[in-house]
Amino acid sequence: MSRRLPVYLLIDVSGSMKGEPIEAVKVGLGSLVSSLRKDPHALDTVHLSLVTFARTVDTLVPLTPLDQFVLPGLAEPETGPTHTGAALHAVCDAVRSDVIRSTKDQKGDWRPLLFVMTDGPASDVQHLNEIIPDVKSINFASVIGCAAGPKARVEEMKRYCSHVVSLDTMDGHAFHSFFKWVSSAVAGGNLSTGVGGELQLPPPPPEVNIVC
Amino acid sequence: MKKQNFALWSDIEVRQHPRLILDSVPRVLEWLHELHAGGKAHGDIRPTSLMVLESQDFCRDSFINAIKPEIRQHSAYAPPEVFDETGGILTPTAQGDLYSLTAVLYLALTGQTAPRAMVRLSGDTLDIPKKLGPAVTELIRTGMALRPQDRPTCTTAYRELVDKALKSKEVATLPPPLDGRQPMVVSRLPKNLGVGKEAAIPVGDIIRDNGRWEIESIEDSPALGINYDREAGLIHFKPGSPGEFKVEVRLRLPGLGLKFDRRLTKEVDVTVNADPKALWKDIEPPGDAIFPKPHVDHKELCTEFARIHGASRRGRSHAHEGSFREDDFAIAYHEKSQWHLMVASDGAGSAKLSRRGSQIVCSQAINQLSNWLDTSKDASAFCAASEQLAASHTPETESALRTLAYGILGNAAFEVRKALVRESEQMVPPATLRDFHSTLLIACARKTEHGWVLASFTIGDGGIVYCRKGGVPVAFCAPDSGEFSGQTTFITVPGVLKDAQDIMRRIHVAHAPDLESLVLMTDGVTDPIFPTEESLSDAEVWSAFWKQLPEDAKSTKDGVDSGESMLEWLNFWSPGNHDDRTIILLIPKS
Repeated sequence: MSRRLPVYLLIDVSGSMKGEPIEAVKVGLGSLVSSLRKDPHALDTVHLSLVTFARTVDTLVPLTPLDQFVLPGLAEPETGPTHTGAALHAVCDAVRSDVIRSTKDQKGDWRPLLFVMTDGPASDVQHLNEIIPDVKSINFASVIGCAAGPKARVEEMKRYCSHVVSLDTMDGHAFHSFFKWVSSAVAGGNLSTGVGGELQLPPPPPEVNIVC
Repeated sequence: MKKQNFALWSDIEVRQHPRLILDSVPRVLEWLHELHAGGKAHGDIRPTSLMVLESQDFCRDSFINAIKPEIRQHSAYAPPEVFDETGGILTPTAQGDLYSLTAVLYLALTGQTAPRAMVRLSGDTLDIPKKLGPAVTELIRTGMALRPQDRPTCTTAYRELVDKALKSKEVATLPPPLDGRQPMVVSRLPKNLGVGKEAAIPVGDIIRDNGRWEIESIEDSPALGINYDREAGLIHFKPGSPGEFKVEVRLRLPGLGLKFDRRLTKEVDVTVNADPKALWKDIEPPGDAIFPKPHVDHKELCTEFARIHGASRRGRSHAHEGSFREDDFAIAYHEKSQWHLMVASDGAGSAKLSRRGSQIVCSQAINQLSNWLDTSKDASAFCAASEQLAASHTPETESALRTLAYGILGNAAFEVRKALVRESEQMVPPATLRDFHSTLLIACARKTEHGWVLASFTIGDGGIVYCRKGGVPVAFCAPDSGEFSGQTTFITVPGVLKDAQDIMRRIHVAHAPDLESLVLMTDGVTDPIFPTEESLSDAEVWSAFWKQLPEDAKSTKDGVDSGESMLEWLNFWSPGNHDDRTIILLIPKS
């Protein structure tokens, strides 16, 4: 069995994403998957999971090998709260059960990656506060947050992300650039690092500003 | 009255069960008979005015409620006499009722609505499928006769025809004419395919609940190489190129004759993944890059006691991104003390100058080991201790050797680190030690009077194994690993050499009188071949590995050079394992 690079994609589908933003995200996800499929290293190791969140958290695709991954349709965003805390909680649970850690007689997965895209503040602040230590204890190679649009709360995201990038606009072009960048960041996820080492991220395109 | 579920005769569920309708016809006839006997007629018999209850009882009330005082001319079930030139509103007649009822039965039995009376009047024929048999044919032909006088004279006579039809063998074996449900065809093949990879998908994975719908064809697209094996119920694919494709599935519901067949075409999306092997590129690093390193390296060394050879090769992932090999190795023989020396180092993928780091590690380590054996006051004690351990393996002799091994190996590690610090400082602009992150694997071997004595020291991943006679492998290292793959430690990590006990833990010594081979490997070789720490001492795993090696790699003949065959072997394919690969072997001479 070859070692897997588990990549979790956590996407906000709350009401404010309705219209062009969610369409752009769908297209972006599609191009992320097809460009990863053209990378031989990614084809060998990347396993993707797609989770959406707004009022509820839905695991649209559980951790699946890249070559078998099929992008499902995303539900239409509805007005309502954005339960980021619950979403992170669900991802932590998924990682705990999916990801294989190294033992004497079992080869572990590569350090998992988490990408979080949200366009506004969390509605479940208390849950978020409670879950942040758990996220840290998982020891993701990187938790990359994408603060989409002007209402996204970068300061809040910095609390659970190792890197935050922001998109000035929520149009197709910006999302496309972001997902392309995600693809090359993922491709670098198979590198050897020190035990607590940081994942080196590739340089971002102009539409994507590294905030921290 | 208790509320019951019902279905209209027009409903899909009912149309699947013509028996349900046929069996309720006698009851309908009873009520019609009652009606006609009272001098009245229904006037609007049609599927939507006939209801069947869940209990399969016919709903008399609704039937009665649907009685119309006038005949609706536009109903498809209206008898032809409605369309007289005289026009006007006609009162319902008993014969007209029989016509309408027969038209409903026609729908139930054939799945098709009968041609409207108007159309029939202008010459269009009423198709009665032969399959329905003579009794049914007579029922329909007479019941739907264009002239009222050609129809059965009354409900009783009609009832006789119905009974005969119901008893006929054709009706007994009649399948539902209208499988109202459409077959469920998936919009996407549940599995993604791969170029050049054959796949056989059961038809049931694509088409479900098809009932009597048959598969006419599955489009034979040249790109997908489809071959539909009807008998086995399998669709064979052999895709020739990657991309997104559509497969066209044509289905047919056989009716009671060609005219009554129904057809359906559905498209199924298929994704074909590229062949990963074809995606790997082989790119040269930029010509002006600092610290260039050749993609391959191999060395040979022969002493009176053994042959040592090593090979190192740039991995596919570095070739794909156009970067250098980050592994390195060195071998030497210290003739005076008769110690054979082997060093390997793996530069960290995330450190930008690790190719230089591993190079310094190997050259410094080898030099320092030789230097220590030349100049240290403990050098001869080290040799003596090896003889003593071989002569008599006790906790004391082992401990004595370990203490001296600490001297030579610990010293080498310290000096290596210092050299890396110097290198980082003298760069312009200065680099950090992190940029040179590399592992360190050292093994030394000496043939004593009572057989071989070995010592090793490791920081990082990879592995050192020695094999005793009979194919018994012994792990001779303490690999550093983390929770996840790719996590290890390096000689350049702060504090890695601070603790004497920790350094001692990294040192192994052994007496191997029947030594068959001693092998050092970076993780490019251990990950695919010895994936876990346990497997390093697993005889089966070792045996599989040993079999793979080229024959000339195991030989100790004078002048043998297995560089080419070893480099060829190091190019083996292993999914997910595309790192630089380095291996050093010591083969004792017999």
